[in-house]
Amino acid sequence: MQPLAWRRYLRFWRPDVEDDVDEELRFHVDMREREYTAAGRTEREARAEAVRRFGNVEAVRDACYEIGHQQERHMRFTEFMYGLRNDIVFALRQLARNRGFTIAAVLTLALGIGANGLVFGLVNALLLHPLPGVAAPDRVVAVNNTYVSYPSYRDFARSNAALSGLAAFSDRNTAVSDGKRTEMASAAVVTGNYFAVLGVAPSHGRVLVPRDDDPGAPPVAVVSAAFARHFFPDGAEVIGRVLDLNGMPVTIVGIAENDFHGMQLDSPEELWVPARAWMALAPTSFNGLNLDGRGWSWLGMIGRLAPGATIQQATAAFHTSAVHQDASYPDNYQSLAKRMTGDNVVSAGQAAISGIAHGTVVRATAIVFVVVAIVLLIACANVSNLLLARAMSRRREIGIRMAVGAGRRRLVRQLLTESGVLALAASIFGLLATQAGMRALSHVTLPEGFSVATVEVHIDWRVMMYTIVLALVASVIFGVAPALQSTRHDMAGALKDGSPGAGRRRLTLRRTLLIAQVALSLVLLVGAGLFARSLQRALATDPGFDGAHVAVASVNAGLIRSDSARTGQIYDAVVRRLSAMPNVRFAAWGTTLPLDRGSDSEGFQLDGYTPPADDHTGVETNDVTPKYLQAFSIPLMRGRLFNDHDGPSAQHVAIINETAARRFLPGKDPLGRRIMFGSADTAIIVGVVRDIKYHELREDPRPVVYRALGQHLTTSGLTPVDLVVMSTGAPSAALGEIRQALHEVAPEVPVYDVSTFADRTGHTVLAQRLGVFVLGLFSLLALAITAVGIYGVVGYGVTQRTQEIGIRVALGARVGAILSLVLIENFASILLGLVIGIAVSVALARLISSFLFGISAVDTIAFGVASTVLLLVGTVAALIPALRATRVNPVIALRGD
Amino acid sequence: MATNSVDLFQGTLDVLILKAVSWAPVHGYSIARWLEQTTDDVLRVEEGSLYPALHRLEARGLLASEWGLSENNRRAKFYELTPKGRRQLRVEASTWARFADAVSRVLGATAQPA
Repeated sequence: MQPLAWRRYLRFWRPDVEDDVDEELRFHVDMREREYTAAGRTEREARAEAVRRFGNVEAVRDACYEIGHQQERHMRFTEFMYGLRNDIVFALRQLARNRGFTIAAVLTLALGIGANGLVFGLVNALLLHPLPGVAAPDRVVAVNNTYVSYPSYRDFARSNAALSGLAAFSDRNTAVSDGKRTEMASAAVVTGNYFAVLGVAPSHGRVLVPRDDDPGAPPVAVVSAAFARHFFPDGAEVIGRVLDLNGMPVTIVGIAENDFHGMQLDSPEELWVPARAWMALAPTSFNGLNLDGRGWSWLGMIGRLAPGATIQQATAAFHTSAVHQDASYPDNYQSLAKRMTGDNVVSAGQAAISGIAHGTVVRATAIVFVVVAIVLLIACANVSNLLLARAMSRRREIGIRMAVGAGRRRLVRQLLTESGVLALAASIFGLLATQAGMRALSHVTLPEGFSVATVEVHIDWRVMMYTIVLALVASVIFGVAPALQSTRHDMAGALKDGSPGAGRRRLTLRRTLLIAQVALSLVLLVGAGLFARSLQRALATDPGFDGAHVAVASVNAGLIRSDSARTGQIYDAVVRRLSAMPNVRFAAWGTTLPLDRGSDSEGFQLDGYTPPADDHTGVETNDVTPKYLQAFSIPLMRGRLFNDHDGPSAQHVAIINETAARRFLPGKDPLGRRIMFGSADTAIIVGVVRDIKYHELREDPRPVVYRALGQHLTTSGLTPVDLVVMSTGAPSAALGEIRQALHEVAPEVPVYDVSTFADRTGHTVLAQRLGVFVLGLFSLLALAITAVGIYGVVGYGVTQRTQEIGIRVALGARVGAILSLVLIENFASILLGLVIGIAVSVALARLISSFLFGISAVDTIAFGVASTVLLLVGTVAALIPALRATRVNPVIALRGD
Repeated sequence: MATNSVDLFQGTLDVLILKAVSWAPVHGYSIARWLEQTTDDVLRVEEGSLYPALHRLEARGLLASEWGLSENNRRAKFYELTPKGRRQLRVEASTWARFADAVSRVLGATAQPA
């Protein structure tokens, strides 16, 4: 085998293993051949005999190749590790020697890295494993956006061979009482195999099993660890306790594994009850519905893929069964088959986050990611600057090492190792910062009612890996430029003396870093400013009502199977009792609160109004008692408000808002017209009130109809209703009276969410508040780091030019001249950074525009204030070292160095 | 092939090679020749197997190698013992001697087992 000619030249770099083996073996065979020829054999015979004696040439050669390659790899690795070890030891020594530098760099980086780790930890919890407690969650599939009846679920479960199990569940708001107090909790009504399908184990007691769901089984429940902690704070034994769920006693048999909270992130399940037991004890609002009827589609489905089965196979099986069911029960199903598609049959992880307005969370997360990335970049720029300054003081060392033959490559590697060691140290402190941040975050509630506390956010191996990798990436970002800079070949000149020549170029790099820092800080400041302005605008928006003195509480009489007459008496008694209090001006009930999330929309007919063809949109309704509109100071425009004569047996009455009047009855008098909701409910319009913001501050006016609650007790009266109390003083002062009144009038009715109206509806400006908080916090951090950076660059420049300044002072230069000497370039940098920052901000502001309120993404005030703040801070940071320059003592300056 | 030749025990080749290179740097071919002459061709080595053994010993740090010129002016790879190799040879040689001694004593025994 003739080796390629050019491969010989590779020898100059390193020995070629295969070439060497070939040559060595060839030598051996040649020598034998020569020996045999000398002994008188023919050349052919000699060759054949030599090869025969040698044995299997191919096998020997391959064996030698393998040994050689192995050896080479091993050597390269050993060499690398040895070098690395040396570099690390050297780096540690260097860092220990410059303790001030090391501490500053590590802390700056740790803040940047910690912020990133925190955000990653959140995303990790949210998007990567949103189903704590569930075994092998990637094998669990959910049927999204689709609810089925119990018999239908049984059909699906029977016919799906791609699943090893299919469970069904339904989340219900439930009044939970231990006899002393009643609270609302999210209970999941589940099939008996729910825990088995999800692979959730108990931490105490047991989980539900299929026999719990048998007819006649004793009613039992499993509670979540969070619920157990919250409801039984004394830590007493939970297993065996009896709880009243909507008035029915169930026995707690177990606590689910620590973190399990059901299948939805936004509505964590707190306790689980078997479906059959639930139905057996169900309240009257389930009248006419039963577990075995196909008319009531209320169950969500989750299944576990059988070993080897794919989600596509499961979807196909769902679809087949759905087609069959559609055909068998045409009365109940029109479109079940249409729903069993890849869009709806998804992995459980995907389903879990679909509920929390997926888009919003992803967008918010993206913003926060950008923010913390910017903070880290600013920190990197600062550390780069510190490294450059230090490289200056190590000029001699580096110069000498280059002079005695250390390659530039080797030196750069050494310097980068120092950066890496620095970054790894920072990642440790960063993880501590992350930990602290996570603890703080667990007290925060995000928009969409989603609280971080429900996700298990903690430092796991993914967060650790992310932090370490990020630290190493950061070390390259901040380390490469200084390393290359300080090993330039003209550094050799540094050996001669501290000549400023090399320093100049380094200053240019420092200036670039400064510009970048200023620009990035401005981006964050502008972001904070935009959110602050939105918040200000949102708070200044006139919602059309006044909730400042209002306190609220929610009750749900339907849950305890109260009848409508008794419910009406309770509502009346509470209002009477509270109205008698000296500090209460109005007390009333309503089915919906302004700016709250719930919405009731009903189809209607109105005399004199013909809806456009194929327009089936209903109208928002709110059933209220007489003083409701006064309690919120909603002005009456025409007609009258409700009064105590609008009782169940009187003529039904309604009040519409201005938009309803304008949209449905333009130019006509609405008073006295009939409005009909279904065949049984015909009301006379008796008044028109002003529009208010009904669901959110930025909505357009929408038509709303207020009806008398007293005339809808059999329907709305048995759903959740809100008590509204307008007091003369602070609304928080009335909370105790509200609780007491409700308890004394009707201790059996579950009461929840007793709070001031402002607290209840705080979510409407939560996005803006959070934006101000997050961006404000991080932009202050960025500003501080940048200020230190500016201080460092200017101060460094002053130190570099002490001699020059000394001469100027000696020659009689005035303070102003000295100041402008050291400041002018830096101001130019800051201004340039501002301009770039504004440009970048304009580009990025679009990212957050959907979270802003009432302002444009290029709000001049936000941009102006941010620029001014940055300029001011920058000026101060630059002035401090500059003033030091004016105090340079020429004698000392000229004598020194 | 000579009928009175003996196949080598596993691992024996290593110690033979160590011995062969213990005087001066030598190349593979002369190791083969030396083995052949010294043992009067009793220990028949399939010559090819010499080389993986040599390379393995080198990888273990028992041998060092260098390219040089052979007697007839061809490039050849020369092997020599490293200090570690010399220690190893000493150990193996004494082990071997005790082993051989024990075996020959057994084979030369005159009394039958009790």
